Amino acid sequence: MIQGDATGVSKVSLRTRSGQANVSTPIKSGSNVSDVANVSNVDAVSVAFSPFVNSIYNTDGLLRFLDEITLIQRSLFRDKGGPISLKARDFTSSSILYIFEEVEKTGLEPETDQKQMKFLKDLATFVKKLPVVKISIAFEPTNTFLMKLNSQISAAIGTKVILDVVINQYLIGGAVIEYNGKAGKYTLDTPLEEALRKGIVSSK
Amino acid sequence: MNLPILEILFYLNLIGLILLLALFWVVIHLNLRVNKTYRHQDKFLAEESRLKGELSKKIEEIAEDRINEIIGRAGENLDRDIRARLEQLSDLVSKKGVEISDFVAKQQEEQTKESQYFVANMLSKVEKESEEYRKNKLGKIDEEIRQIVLSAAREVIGRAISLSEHEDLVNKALEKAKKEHIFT
Repeated sequence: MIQGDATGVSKVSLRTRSGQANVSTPIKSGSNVSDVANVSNVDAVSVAFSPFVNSIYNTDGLLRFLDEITLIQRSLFRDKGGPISLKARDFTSSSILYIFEEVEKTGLEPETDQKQMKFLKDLATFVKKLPVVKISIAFEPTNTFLMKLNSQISAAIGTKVILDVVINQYLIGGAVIEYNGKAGKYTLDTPLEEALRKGIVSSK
Repeated sequence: MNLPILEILFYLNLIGLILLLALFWVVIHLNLRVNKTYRHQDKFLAEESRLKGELSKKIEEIAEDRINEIIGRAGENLDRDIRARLEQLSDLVSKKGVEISDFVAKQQEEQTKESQYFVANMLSKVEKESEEYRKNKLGKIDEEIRQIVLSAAREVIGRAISLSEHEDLVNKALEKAKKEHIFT
């Protein structure tokens, strides 16, 4: 699992689909052997997916990522051997190829076309199921800030999330955060309105 | 023998002649009597006609007199009745006039009271509505002022806040969200 990058933004450990914690989480003593094997397989896949998932921060990035995966899927089954990064080089020049190269170095990427196709489909399905946190802010965030924000929220939730960032020019400062049916407004609008209301009431 | 027969015949003829003459006389006499009767009858009819005319005239005169008398008496009665009725009517009108006058006075009094109540009620209602309207209007004005000030503040503060300050505010928002367990 990648725990840091050049930006200094820490990455978040992934939860498996079974609801278990990441690979570093010890398997519970009550689990039987088959459970252990399944969890290990799932964790291995999760580990392989981690670099990809950690490269996605918001919904725009997610859509771009899914487009790239679709492009890369076209590079398969063309009588060309080797890892995905090699096969997809003629179809995309995206930085996603470097992530594939990193994963390939760890030996977590399958070798045959069919398995690679399954890997890509699983990857797309996996990222689509990531929880989404909607955050409304008053300014266009820099990429660095977006990564940092994603990292903080993912850490708070305990799983990698995708941010649905909405730029709302009517917000004065702060953010409106919505997640899992809950919402909180933490902007300067509220105190400002309160102050204005008090000011108007006291002036009467 | 022949002689008595002749004498008998003669006497018979004589008797016949006498009878014939008697009959002739009777017929003439009757004729005269009939003629006389007719004359009497014509006279009587003329007299009767005259008498009828006179009688009719007399009856007309009497009837006219009686009618005039009846009409005169009836007119007097009618005048008397009308006078009596008029007096009754006058009394009634006078009485009713007093009643109407009382009624009108009473109605006026009630109307005045109702009007005063209505006016007081309306005044209260109008005052209330006016107060509500004033409050609503003031509320709207307050809201508009608040929106204007808010908009201006948003504009000014939005420009005044730097990117790093925006980021700080978002970080603070995150911290608050964590404290409020938005992410759990």
